[in-house]
Amino acid sequence: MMQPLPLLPGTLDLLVLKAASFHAEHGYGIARRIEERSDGALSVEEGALYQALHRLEHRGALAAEWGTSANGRRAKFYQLTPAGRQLLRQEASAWRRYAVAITTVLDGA
Amino acid sequence: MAFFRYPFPRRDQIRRDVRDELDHHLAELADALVREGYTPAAAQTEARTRLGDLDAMRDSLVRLDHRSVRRRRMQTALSELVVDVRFAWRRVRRRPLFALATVLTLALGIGTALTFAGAVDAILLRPLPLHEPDRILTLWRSPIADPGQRSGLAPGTGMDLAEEVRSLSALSVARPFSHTIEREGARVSIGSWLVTEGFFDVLRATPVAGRLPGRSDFAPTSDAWVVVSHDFWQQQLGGRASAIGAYERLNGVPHRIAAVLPAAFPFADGRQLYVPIQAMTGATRENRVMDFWTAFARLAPRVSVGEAEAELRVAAARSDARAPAATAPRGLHVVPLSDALLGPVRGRLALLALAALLLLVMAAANASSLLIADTMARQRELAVRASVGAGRARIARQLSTEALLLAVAAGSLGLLLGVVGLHFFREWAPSSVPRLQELRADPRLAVMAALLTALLAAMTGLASARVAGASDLQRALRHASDGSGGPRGRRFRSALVATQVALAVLLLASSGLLLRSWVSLTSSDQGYSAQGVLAIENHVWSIHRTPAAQEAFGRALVERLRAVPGVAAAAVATDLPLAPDIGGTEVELRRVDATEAITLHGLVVSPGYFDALGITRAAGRGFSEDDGSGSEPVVVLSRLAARRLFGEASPLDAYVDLLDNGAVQSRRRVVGVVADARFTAMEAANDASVYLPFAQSPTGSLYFVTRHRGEVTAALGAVQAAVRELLPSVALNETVQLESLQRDVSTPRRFALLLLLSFAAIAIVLTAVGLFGLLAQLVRVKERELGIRMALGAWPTQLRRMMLMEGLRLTALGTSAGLVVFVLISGGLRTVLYGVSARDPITIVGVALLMFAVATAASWWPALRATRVDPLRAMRAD
Repeated sequence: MMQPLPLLPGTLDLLVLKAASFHAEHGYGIARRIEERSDGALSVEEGALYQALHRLEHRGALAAEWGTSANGRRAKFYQLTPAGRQLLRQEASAWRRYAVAITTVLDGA
Repeated sequence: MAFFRYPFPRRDQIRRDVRDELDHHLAELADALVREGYTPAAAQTEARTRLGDLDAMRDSLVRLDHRSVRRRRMQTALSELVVDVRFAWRRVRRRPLFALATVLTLALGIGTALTFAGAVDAILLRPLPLHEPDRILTLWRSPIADPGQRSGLAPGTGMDLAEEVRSLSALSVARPFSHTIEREGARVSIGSWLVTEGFFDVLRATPVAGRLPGRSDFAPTSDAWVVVSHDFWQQQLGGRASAIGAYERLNGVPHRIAAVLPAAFPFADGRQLYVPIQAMTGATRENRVMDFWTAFARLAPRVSVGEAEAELRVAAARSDARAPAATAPRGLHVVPLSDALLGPVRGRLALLALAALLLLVMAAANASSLLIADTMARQRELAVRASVGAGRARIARQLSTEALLLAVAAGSLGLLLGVVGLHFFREWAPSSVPRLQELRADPRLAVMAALLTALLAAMTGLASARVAGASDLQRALRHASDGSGGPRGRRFRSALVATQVALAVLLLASSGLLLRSWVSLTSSDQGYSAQGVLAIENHVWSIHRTPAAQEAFGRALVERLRAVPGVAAAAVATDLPLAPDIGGTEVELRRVDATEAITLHGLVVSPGYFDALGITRAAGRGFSEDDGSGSEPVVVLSRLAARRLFGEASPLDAYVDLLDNGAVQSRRRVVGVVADARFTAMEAANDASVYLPFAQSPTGSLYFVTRHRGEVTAALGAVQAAVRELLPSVALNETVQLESLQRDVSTPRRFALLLLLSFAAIAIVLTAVGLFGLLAQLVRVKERELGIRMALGAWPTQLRRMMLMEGLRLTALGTSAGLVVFVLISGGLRTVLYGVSARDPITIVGVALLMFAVATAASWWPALRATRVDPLRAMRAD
């Protein structure tokens, strides 16, 4: 198995927003989802993850609610708010243009 | 759900949530590890290891959450405040009269309180603008037999003390004087102080310009100099810095202007020049008897007042022993400068400040009562708001916001009133109040205004919020129809009204006492009649140098004054009631058969003096033209002086020795006894006076006194012209009307009385309004009950009596409470009273009667309204 890549600065919020955009999810689930969707290429460090979740909650991008997880535990679930959806769209498009630009430069050399 | 307001979690809640969230993460991770093949125990350990420093993670999350919760809470509070203020503002605009009444009442209370707080602060509380003012003492003497009778120090005694007492760093004696200066060819007389060495070492002030003279400047060889007041510098020297070092001719002699004192120099008494006595010698230096100089001293470092006083007493006794003849034994007292200076105003000013405070409390009670009545009238609206989900705290906050809005408006207006009030206080206060020039609005006033505003907002807001919060939904909806808020709100208002009555009674009774003492003072027998008396102070030494010339001048002047139309009597004399003394007014007299002399108030008068002042004769005769320099030396005594010297025996034709610094100057026969007159002060005891005929003791420092038939002011010009005929080249002093002198000296008393009376008037109005409002509401509330009673056959008079009794019950409660408190504390007024007891029964009964009259008047209309209830309408309503 390939060693997971470290996250580039500024990308964690984007990943977290994306991971919480499908349905309400708790912190562990969000971390797993990011790992799974990247086929294990990206790994999220827990401390940073929870900081990001709480920060986004206070900014109003995520709404949090306590509920019961699939295996019957009390857990805090995060869901994207309309404001969060807006933010996700902006960040994603910015990232895509950024990635394309970097790729173009690298491939054109 | 945007409209659902998330309750703000507290810190322990945040901590618990963060812990639960991370624990959940750990549990899920451990489950996954177990699925990978770990044993449950190993999975736990592994999960913890992977997560790293759990505590640090937890703490940083808690901090993050806490910070943002705080920010959010502040934003919410702010937006709610904006909503509340808008809401309150809408309500205020809907009822402008109610708001205006509340704001004006409070503003008046705050303004008055601020004015007097400012005055008390500037005059009584702030330290005097001198270096270490609490180390400055004044020295006084009094007969051992009569310690209440205070006088200053004799110059010789003062010099002895200055030389001998080690516990003082400086001691100086000073005496009021007057100097003439020349301006545009005319001579102007200016009040001055003659001061001895050390004056400016005692009263260490920072001069505005120049340098204050030191000890060497008092040496006999140094140039003559003068220190001038700030006023003199501004008015006579144009406020120029170049005035320092220039010369001013005082009584024709050039004096170098050494320094300008600061405007706030507290030891001025209206006098403008400070002239040194450079080397006191001869008779003055040796005079240890005439106690009329003002003495003050500065304590040496590390010496206590008690130590200094002890040393001073011993030194004073030693000094007295050096006097050539035995005098009645005298004690020496030490009084701190601030007490000597501020003592006379302290009682009155404190009384006014206290009265202003009472007025503020009354205003607050009135405003509270108004707000509560308003809240109660809104009960139904509030109940509806509560039923659609507004929390009790939210409603309370809304009501408080309204109170705050009104209080802030009142506070700002009150601050303005306070500043204006302070200005007027400075303009109108009697000039004898010390430190008036230091009175000005400063930032402390604004701070006090803010504090008062906050306090009032809290008081009134809490009261109405409590009334609103007290009612549950059911009860509120039930009582809403009558707008009473139920018995609880009413009880609270009743208590407020009773308190108002009590406070008003306190104010009324205090001003009643002051009024009574004013009447008693103005109607008291002063021993002379001031009406129609004119006087001019003058000094003719430089023109008429010999006693014979002075005697001739005096006789000619009296002759000339008598010829002025309308003059009923004319005289020259060395003293006048209430006037500043102009040449030492104490004499020592000894019965020929006694060994000890007594000091009495003495004056030299020409024959017309008793007629001019209306001093009545009690026995024997007054002076006549025959009591001349060649004839037998005679003397006239006042009753009190006769009693002091001779007891109950008749003094007529007895002989007394007049002493001059211990030696017998002349032996005189008592030819008459006249009524006692009050020369020193209107409130003081009668003076024991000794009158000497002018022709036998002529002098050059004189009052020219005339009594006029009819209008005095019309005769002013004629009198001045007559004097000028005889004194063409002398600067003429101001012509004084004895009546205005009387008015002037009673100004502080009148000022305090008028202020207190107006406070009491405001208090009565506030109380009447409070009572009226309460009863009017009561009639509205009980309309149905009254209607039923009426339908059942009650007489209108019965209903009226019922309402009146309610008003009078509160009045009786408040009045008795107020009077009890008054009787307990009125002893504190004793210092400002004259001729009336602090528990004067007439005042007490009068105040109670007045209060009941006002209460009856205020209750009358609501009571009348009770009898006009239409039974049908009342029962049908609602």
